[in-house]
Amino acid sequence: MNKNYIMILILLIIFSCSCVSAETMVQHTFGHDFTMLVPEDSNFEKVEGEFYNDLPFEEIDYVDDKNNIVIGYINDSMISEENVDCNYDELFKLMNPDLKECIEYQENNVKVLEPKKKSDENFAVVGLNQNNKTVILLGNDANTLKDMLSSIKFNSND
Amino acid sequence: MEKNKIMIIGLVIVIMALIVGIAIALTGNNGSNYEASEGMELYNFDSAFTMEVPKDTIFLKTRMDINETGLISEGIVKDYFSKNKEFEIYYIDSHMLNDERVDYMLALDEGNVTTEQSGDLIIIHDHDASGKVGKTWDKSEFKEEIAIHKGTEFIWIFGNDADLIKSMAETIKFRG
Repeated sequence: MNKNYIMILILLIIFSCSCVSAETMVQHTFGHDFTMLVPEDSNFEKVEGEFYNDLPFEEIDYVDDKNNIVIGYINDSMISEENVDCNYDELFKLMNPDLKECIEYQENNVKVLEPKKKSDENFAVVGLNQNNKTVILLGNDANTLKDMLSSIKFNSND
Repeated sequence: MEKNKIMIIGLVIVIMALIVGIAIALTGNNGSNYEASEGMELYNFDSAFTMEVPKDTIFLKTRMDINETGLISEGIVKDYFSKNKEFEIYYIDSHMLNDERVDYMLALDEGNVTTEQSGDLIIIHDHDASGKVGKTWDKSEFKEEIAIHKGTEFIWIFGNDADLIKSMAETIKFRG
């Protein structure tokens, strides 16, 4: 009988955790390009700078200072499913120069590279390339980034 | 905010580097059109090569400065270890690689070892290995090995399921 109570308690905890997680994400529209679930308390701002004018491709970056999340969006056929993965690896290396190890896997077409040891100093890289559109997310919490990117919907008119 | 600036600059620099300097030759399988075998999925290993792996494989990827034999001191050396699927993939890309060095590395297995060739694949059975799978690659002792060498690249797959790692190795497509 006690076992049953414990199982019910565990189920309730899991259910309540999943409810909290779902409630903390809201839909956000990024320009005319895509929509995505983001943390409710986030405030993404488009990064402006003259150096974007000099790039040989179009890249739009958004930053959320509150949750330390950066989103990069590139719509360029030069970056494809075949060559995008070295970007993720290079970015992970750049953001975590002291780390020699990372946990890496793919879920559907989303690639996840997360530090083996979680820390505010370490950053996960989560990326997706679909029809030559590339979205790369950087932040501390790989699960949040994964939930965000898994929810992406590209603007079909783009 | 400072870290975020670094992240943004990182995004720009890395992607620009890819487009301007290190664009990879687009050869091999296109992931979106590729149909993997049952229970398998095509995995892109940092744009260096693709290979079918069991679905839901989680890798512990280790970037090494030098290969453990000391034979390769320049280039890229990485290890992809999957504890949940019980195999390991060791990858080298170095101009220092040649047939002699590959033969030397493969000959490092001591004891009761048999080797056979199947096309480009070198298949090694380590009869003395325990088959133990530890938390990391260096704490594991696999019974079966398959290696393939092409130009500057070398892939060495370890596991206990000979059929599985052979079916994986047969789908390798180098990008370079």
